[in-house]
This record gives sequence, C-alpha cells and structure tokens, in this order.
Amino acid sequence: MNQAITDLVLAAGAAWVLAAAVGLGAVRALWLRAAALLSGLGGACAVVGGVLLAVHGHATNVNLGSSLVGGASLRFTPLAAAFIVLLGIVAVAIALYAPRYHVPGRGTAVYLAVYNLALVASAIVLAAGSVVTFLVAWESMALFSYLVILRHQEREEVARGAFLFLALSEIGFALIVAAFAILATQTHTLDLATIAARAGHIGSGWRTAAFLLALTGFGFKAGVVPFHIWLPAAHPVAPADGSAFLSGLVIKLGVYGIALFSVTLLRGGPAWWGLVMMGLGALSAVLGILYALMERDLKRFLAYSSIENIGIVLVALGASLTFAAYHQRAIATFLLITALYHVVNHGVYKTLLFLEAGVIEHATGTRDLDRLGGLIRLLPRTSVISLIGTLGIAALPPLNGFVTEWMLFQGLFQGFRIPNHTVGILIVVAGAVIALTAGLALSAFARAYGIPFLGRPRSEGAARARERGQPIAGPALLAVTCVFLGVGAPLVLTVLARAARAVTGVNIHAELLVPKLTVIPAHTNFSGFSPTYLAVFIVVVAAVPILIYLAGRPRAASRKVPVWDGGILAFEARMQYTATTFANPVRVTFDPLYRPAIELQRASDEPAGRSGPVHYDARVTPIFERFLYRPVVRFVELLARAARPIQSGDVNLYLLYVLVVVIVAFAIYAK
Amino acid sequence: MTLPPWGAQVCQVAALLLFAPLISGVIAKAEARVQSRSGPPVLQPYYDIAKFFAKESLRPNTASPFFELAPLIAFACYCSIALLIPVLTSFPLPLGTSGDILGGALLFGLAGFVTALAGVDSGSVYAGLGSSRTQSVATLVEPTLIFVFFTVALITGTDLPYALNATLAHSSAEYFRPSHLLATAAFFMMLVVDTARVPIESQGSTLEFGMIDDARLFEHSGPAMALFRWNASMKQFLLYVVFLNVLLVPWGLAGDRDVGAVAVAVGLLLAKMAGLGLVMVVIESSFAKLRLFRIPDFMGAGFVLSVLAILVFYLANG
Repeated sequence: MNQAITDLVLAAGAAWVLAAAVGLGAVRALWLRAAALLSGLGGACAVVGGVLLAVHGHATNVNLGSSLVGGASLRFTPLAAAFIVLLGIVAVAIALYAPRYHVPGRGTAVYLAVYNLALVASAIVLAAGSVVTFLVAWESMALFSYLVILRHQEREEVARGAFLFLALSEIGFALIVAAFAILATQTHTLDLATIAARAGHIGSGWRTAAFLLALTGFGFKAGVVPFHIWLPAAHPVAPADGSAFLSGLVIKLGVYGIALFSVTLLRGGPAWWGLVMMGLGALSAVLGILYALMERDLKRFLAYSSIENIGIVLVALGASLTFAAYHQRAIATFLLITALYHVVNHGVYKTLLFLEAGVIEHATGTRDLDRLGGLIRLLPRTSVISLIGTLGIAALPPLNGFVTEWMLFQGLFQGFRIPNHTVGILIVVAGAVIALTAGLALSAFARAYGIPFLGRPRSEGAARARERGQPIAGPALLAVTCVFLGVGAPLVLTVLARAARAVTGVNIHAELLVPKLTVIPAHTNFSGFSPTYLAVFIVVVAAVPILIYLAGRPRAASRKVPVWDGGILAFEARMQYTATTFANPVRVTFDPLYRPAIELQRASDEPAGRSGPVHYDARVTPIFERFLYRPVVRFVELLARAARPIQSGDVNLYLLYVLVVVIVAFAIYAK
Repeated sequence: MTLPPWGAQVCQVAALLLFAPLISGVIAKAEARVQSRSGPPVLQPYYDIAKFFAKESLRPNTASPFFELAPLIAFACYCSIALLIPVLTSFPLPLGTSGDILGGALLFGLAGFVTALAGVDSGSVYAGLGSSRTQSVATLVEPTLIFVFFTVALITGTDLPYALNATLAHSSAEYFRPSHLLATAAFFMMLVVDTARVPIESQGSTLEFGMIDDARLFEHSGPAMALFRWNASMKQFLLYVVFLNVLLVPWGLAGDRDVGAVAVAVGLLLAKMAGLGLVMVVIESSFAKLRLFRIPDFMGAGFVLSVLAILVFYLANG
C-alpha cells in the first residue's frame, strides 16, 4: 500500500514535469493536446494516490538522499490526502479544459510549462518531509503561480495584479520562514516528523510565536482578511484556468499550512488560538461575501467569494482547535473533517465557476455582470453546469456545499459542551456570523447566476454568444463531482474519517455514520441528516407537483408574450434589473461598511430637463486598501526616502561602508 | 385501525397539501371581519388556485425553461420539509430523521432561491425587484434563526424537530425557561417576516413598489401562478407547524398511528393554526407596513431577542 501511494504521487509529479516539457512545444495544437493529456494523467494519479493515502491512514516516508541542504525528503501524511485529491481533480479538470481554451502559440507554450511546474511544486509542498523541502517548494509554487498570472502580461492591470500577488506572497513567506525557524531551532531538527514529535517540549511563548507567525504567513496565501487584497486583483487578470488553479488550489495550500502547524506540528494549543482563528475566519467570511455582493466583474466576484469560503474553513479549523483544547476530541475531529471536506468542496465548485467564467468571457467578450444576460438560451450546456456549481456554492440541498455547511453548524452547536461560558458564547457568535454569511451568499449567487444567465441579454456581445467548440468536459466533470460530493457524502465521510483518525488519533466513524446513510455530528441523539435520502426525497416528491401541473395543464393554453413593461414605449434589455440594482438593498443596509461614493450628474436639474442623459456612478470604498495598506506603503516609502542618501552612487563611499562593516564585525567577534 | 408508518408519513404531506390554502383563507376572512368588511369566502384560496389552473398561461417570450420549472422545484421542497417535521405525530416517521431543523431551513432556502431566479428569468423589472428584495430580507433572517436553533439545542441537547417536540412537551421546567420563551418570541418575529405579513408586507397589495414576495411572480400566470399561490400557503403552513408544534404548543399530536388519533391531531393542528392566524390578524390590523429600509430595524429587534435568549441561558446556568 505504501509503495502504491508513493508510486502514484511520484508518477503524478513525473507526468507534470513531462507535461511542462511537452508544453514548451505547444506552438502546435498537437503538442498542446499532448501536454494536457499528460497533465490530466498526472491529475488522475494524484486523485487515486490521495484517496489511497486517506484510506490507508498512515504516513509514508520517502527519502531521496541528503545530497541537498538538509536533505530533500518527502512524507505523505493523511492530513495532506484531501489536498492531494483536490490537486488531482483540479489538474484533470483544467487538462480537459485547456486544449479548447488556449490557442497554440509561444505564450501558451510558456504558460503550460509554468503551470505544470506549479502543479509539481504544489504537490511537493503537500508531500514535504523537511523544512527545507517545504520552503523551497513553497517559494517555487509562489513564483510559478506568479508567472501563471502573468500569461497576458501585455494587457493593462496584469502587472499590477501579479505584483500584488508576489509582494504579499513574499511577506507571507518571510513570516513562514520565521515560524519554521523557531520550530527548527527549538527542536534542533529540520525533519517535520521529528519536529512534530518534539514540539510538545517547546516553551509556550515560542509555540505561540510560531503559531501566530504561521497563521499570518499562510494567511497571506489563503486570502484571510485583512491579507486578502491580492485575490480580487490577481484573479481577473489571470487566464480562466489560471484563476481556477489559484482559487481551486493555491489558496488551499495556505489552509494546508495553517492546518499543518496547528494540528500536526504543534498538536493543538490553548483555546484562544482556536478563537483567534475563528475570529479571523468569521471576519473573512462575512466581509468576503459582502464585498462579493457589490462586485460587477464576474471573476472579481468569484475571488471575493473564495475569501468567504476560506473564512468558513478557518472557522471550522479554529473551532476544532478550541474543542480540542477542552478535550472534546470527537467534536474536534468532526470539525477537522468538516474543514477538509469544505476545502475539497470549494476547490471543486470554484474551479468549475472560474472555468465557466472563462467560457462566458470568450463567448461574450465581457465579464461585466451588468452587460450579460439570457445566456441560458445561448449557452445551454454552460448554464446547466454553472447552475450545479452555483447550487453547490450557495450551500443548497442536496449538493456538496450544503453538506459542509450543515456539518459546520452542527459542530458549532456543540459549543454548549464547553464548560467555559465565554467561549461558548463566542462560538455562538461565530455561528451567527456564518449564518449571516450563508444568507448573503444565497443572495449573492442568486444575483451571480440570475443576472448573466437569465432574463434578456443586456449588451450586443452577450446577445451574440454561441456555443461553438467551448470546453465542456472539464467543467462537466466538476459538476458531476459536485453532485457526488453531495449525494455521496456518507462515502466521502468514511474516507475522510480514516484520514482524520490518523491525524487526531480519534476514530469517529461509528458516531459519524450510523446505518441508513445518515450523518451524525459526533454525538448520537443530537441530530442527524442524510444528504442521500434528501436528494431522493426531492426527486421523488417532485412527482407530486409535476402530476398536479400536468393534470391542470391540458385545459389551459400557453402563449408567449412580451414581458410587461409598465406601458413605456420601448422597453430595452438594459432596463432590466441589473447586478448593481439587485444588490442595492444590501448596500443600503450595510451602508456604514461600504461607505459608497455616489456620483450623480444630470443634464439639468430642471423638471423639464430630466429626460436628458444621467450619469450615475456608485463605488464602494475599499477600506482595507485605504486605511490599512496605504498607510503601510506610505511608511515604507518614507523609510526608503530616508535611506536614499546612503546610496549616492560613489564607489569610494560604498568601499567605506564595507570597511566599516568589517571593522564592526571584527570588534564584535574579537570579544 | 392503525396506519402503516409510511401511511402516516403520507398523511403529513396530504395534510399540508389539502389544508394549507385553508389557513390563508381563514386569516383573510378574519382580517376582513376585523376591518368591518364581509371579506372573501374562507375557501377563496382554493377557488383561486382552481381558477389559475384553468387559465391560459402567458410566458414572456424570452423566458427559459427555468421559468416554468421553478414553481415545481419549490413545491417539491415544501413537500419534502413536511416529511421531516412533526406535523401530525409526536414520534418520528420513516425517514423523518433524514433531516434536522437546519436541513429543513436549507430546503426553504432552495425553494426561495429558485423562486427568485424565476423572477429574474422573466426579464421583468418588477419581478427582478421582488427577487432582489426577498433575497435581501431573507439574508437578515438567517442569524436570528441560527441563534434560535442554538438556544433550543442548548436547552434540549438536540435539534431534531421530533426530539425537540418530545423534550418540550414533557417538561414544564424546560418549557418555561426564559431562554425558550425569548427564543420563541424571536422566532415569531421571523415568522412574520417569512410569511410576508404586516409590518413587512401587506398581502394582496397591488402596488408594485410596495411588494416584496409577490413581486417575484409578476410575470407568472395560469398553472404556474396556481402552484406559486399554493407554495406560498404551504410555506406559511410549514412555518406555523414548526412554530406551534416544535416551540410554542408542543402538545396535541398523535401518539400512535391510529386513524382516529391522526384525525384528532389534524383537527387540533388546524385549531392551533387558526388561533395563531388570529394573532396575525390583530397585528396586521393594528400596525402599519414598514418602509423597506426600516425592515432591518425590525430584524434587529428579533436578533436582540434571540441573543438575549442565549445570554440568559448561560447566565441562568452560570
């Protein structure tokens, strides 16, 4: 078993390296397809390997010799299993999508090479066995992702989005290095398994410092508020499959890092660690979705929604830590499973939605929700696939988002088992924030699906959209996966429970799944639900209204008529409700947060002149950019300006600096 | 005579389908009487549904299949919820534990979601307005509902509707806990919102700009409209069942599957609902409708009640 897992994941890595090499030849269509095929095969290997790893439930070491600094060692741990599966799914879906999305050419060739190398680097991050391996893989992953974003570097805004990604990634990296440095120096080893074994003996101050550094450092990659600002900048400028890769996988690596530190390396900590994580998660969730609701650009909207989902994962992970701190290990394991499950769920439906956003952009020439509409008749297959993804992400039964949302709430409901009442109340508050988030997400996705797909096309570009050679297989595979992860939840949970058992040492399989395919939140008698039965119910029960409808229908004729326009002379498609107006009640309700700047210009304010053109512009204040990042950037600029006199350009002066430094160093070491 | 388990389950759904419009009719009649009108017959909702079924159906020429599918999906959701909650019996029926109170809430969410999409699909400005408003209002209901669920979970140690009913019905100490009463009050405020009553919305209004729920259906007609009307009354019926049988009056349900006991349970349920309907009538007749952007204040009040419910629980057990 060990050997099979190792072989499969190494085969995936090898396939991706090969795909990167073949991709370089993708100036011709055949090479493009060959690279995609290899990439997809690698993904399939990773999926199988990841599932086996979870089922097997034991860590496997692979030592590649110690020729490199610190030794490059790989270690497949059950905690990473869910992430490896997700990596595989994303790779397969993108491989099916890419040949029809990209045009063969030099840009595509380079892009495919760096994309496949990013896959390899991500796999190594997930399989790293030592600190050095992890850090090298992490940095490579960040750099390759940066190049992925730069695919269309000649377009405006691309450089800025990519720079923001890289800059925040590097800040995060510095913090991660510091976190690892603390652990490595305190435990005197670079091997992750040994660190985990010895971390219990580190002083609590060092442990806390490592935890906070890791939470912040990986938070930059995961897109946790307030470290999230690169997501809405980088996602829209990357190609569709690149954005899908960023949101589907790269930000999950941040979550993996946080989980690696808090669960595996430090093995839990005081309750307040969990509460801090829950606080950050709840803040990310609600702010992410509130900003998503105001967004007109489809890909920026999806990026903000990713921030929301990462927040939900962090709440689950934080709650898991909190329960573990109070020795409620069964519930802690249940919540860890929830977090892992949600990571996979979000990876699947967000990849789907980003890939379909690319299809829409190609077909209509725009990503502006207010210029789209009526795509359900023009792009029927895309619309059905997107609907499945939308129902999934909006957490509606019986799809996958619903399962994890239910599990998260059930886990939080168990807060009354914690003796400390303050903690109990804080958990309830987190639950209420997540509930608000869920409600807003429902509204946001009703808007994000309803406006572009339903109604009438709001622009000529949208009206011209046709289904001609669009990539279907990749998104369709993801849609099927969404349904499976929802309806097949008992099976998925069986696998995840085995992986979680290996991580936390608690086997909750018996409490999690009783017979009859029903899921129970770790404590029998508290609650239970069965996504499988619910799905069957809804389908079977739908027979009732269909029969009633059919019985009533023959008597009545059906006629198509123009929509009621209130009696105006020319009702135009752009007069329909738009994404902006749809979100307006929420904007008014949360006005203090958004601080919208509204600019209204009329041709004339005379009652008679009101028929003239009206210019209306409403913008939401980006509070984090303005009040957090801008002061920091100003401060850094100030420092840079203060340091500028040192760099005069005079070589003699520079030699003097060297001399001074050497003398100071001697003076110090002479003691 | 004893019903088979699945027979009792079918009875729950049948009670929902048959009697949901009746409750709407009773409320409309009572409201008219309070306002010194003679009002429509109690059976008017049934006549309306029959009438809409016989009418020809006009579809906007740009509408997609979604336009017609949405009322069917929503209908199926409401029927599924009836399988999960104690409508008539105080013990779980087959598959009755396949979903808890949260699963039921998310099924309501699905029904609302497809209805809102159908409104947007029509391409009508008014229907779009309705969809936007209902989704925004529904957003603000969620936190309060979750607090209420947290409270009942705290008090009873479960969130399965059947188990909740049993715990509250058999222990007056649990029933008269201040947290339970506060949570019930908070749920009542959300009930007013979700059943689209004054002060949130006046039913039967014909003023487009004052509409919230009904505006979504602006373009639907014929059988689709009949289903939507039926859906609205079923939603009200189900929420009343949750409020009455789970929170406020958890008594009077059938203890076994005897036909007589089930029939009595139906009668008692309708009587309880009529009583609750009268309370709604009093509220409808004594308050004015709130401005759209005052609705969050109303929600805020409900939210505070539910927060108090939790705090009181922790303080009382402090």
